[in-house]
Amino acid sequence: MSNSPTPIFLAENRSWTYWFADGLPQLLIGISVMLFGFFFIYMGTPSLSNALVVLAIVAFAAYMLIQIRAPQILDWLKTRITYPRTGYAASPYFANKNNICRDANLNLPPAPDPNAPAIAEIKRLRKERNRRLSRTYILLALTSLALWFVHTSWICALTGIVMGIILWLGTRADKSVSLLVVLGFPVVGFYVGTLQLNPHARVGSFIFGAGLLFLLEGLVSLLLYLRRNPVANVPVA
Amino acid sequence: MTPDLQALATLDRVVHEPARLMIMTVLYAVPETDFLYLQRECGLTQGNLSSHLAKLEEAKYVTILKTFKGKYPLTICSLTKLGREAFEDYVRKMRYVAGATAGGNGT
Repeated sequence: MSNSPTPIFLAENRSWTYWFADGLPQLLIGISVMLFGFFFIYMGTPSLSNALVVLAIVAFAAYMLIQIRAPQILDWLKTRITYPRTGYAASPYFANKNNICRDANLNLPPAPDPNAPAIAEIKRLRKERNRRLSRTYILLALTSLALWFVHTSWICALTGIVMGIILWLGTRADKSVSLLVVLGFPVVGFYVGTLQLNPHARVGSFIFGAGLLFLLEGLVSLLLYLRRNPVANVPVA
Repeated sequence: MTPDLQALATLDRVVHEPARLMIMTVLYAVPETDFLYLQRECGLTQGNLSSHLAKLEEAKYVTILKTFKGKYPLTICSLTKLGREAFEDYVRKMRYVAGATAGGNGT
């Protein structure tokens, strides 16, 4: 059998890409990472004013809220921005588990042949994608530990470069992260390296900068998306 | 007829039509989509898509649910269990035919 992508593979992959096309997921990731970075900067700072303590706690609460409610927040945003323009497609990102046996949700027996070629193909595709993304997250987390344990200014630049490479390798297959973020990581690393900061603030600033990159990417994607897709007339079947 | 050709004769005509095959492929890969997304993905006109969806719904391969998300009306389409089975059966038969044509046993 040929190894060229089948229409099922392409349709699944397009729905995955479609999820990021409007820039809203990146925007939300950016905001939440910036909030966490902000919290991290002030968490280890001695003798903070009360106002800053409150601000840091609020930032952390907002970060947690976004983490817990991300699907709902995204759906709310997409309902107002994306669906009227280019339509609704359930994201494979949040539907990995209940897509294939969706009928189980309707109290019907699942499809009789879970090893049917088409199902196996989608399963394989999603498994590979999940494995690749998990590996990327783990490598990013491990690399960030260097910032914590090595207290020299050049470590920020090096971490930025390594993270940029990890992100590029981990996401180039589905293009869910643009070059703006990939190339931005070393820039953030170099910049944070020039600042004289304690370890807490250094890690926090790096996280904040990474969040800013995702926020910028989200904004650029959103603007381009809005420009390309004016509101469509809503068709009725 | 040879067994290979007989396999062609048993193809589901509801699924076999190109536009409907496109629709079912998208719906197989994506849990649920709305009318506009399907229209853009398949490159069909509103009328064309409506009539093909109606045929798929008639065959009980697709469910069409008219709903609202906020103020935005959505016509959500998804494959039924029967539709998924029909699509898998179609894919299996086509792979068999393609395998047989290529000189293999098609399994």
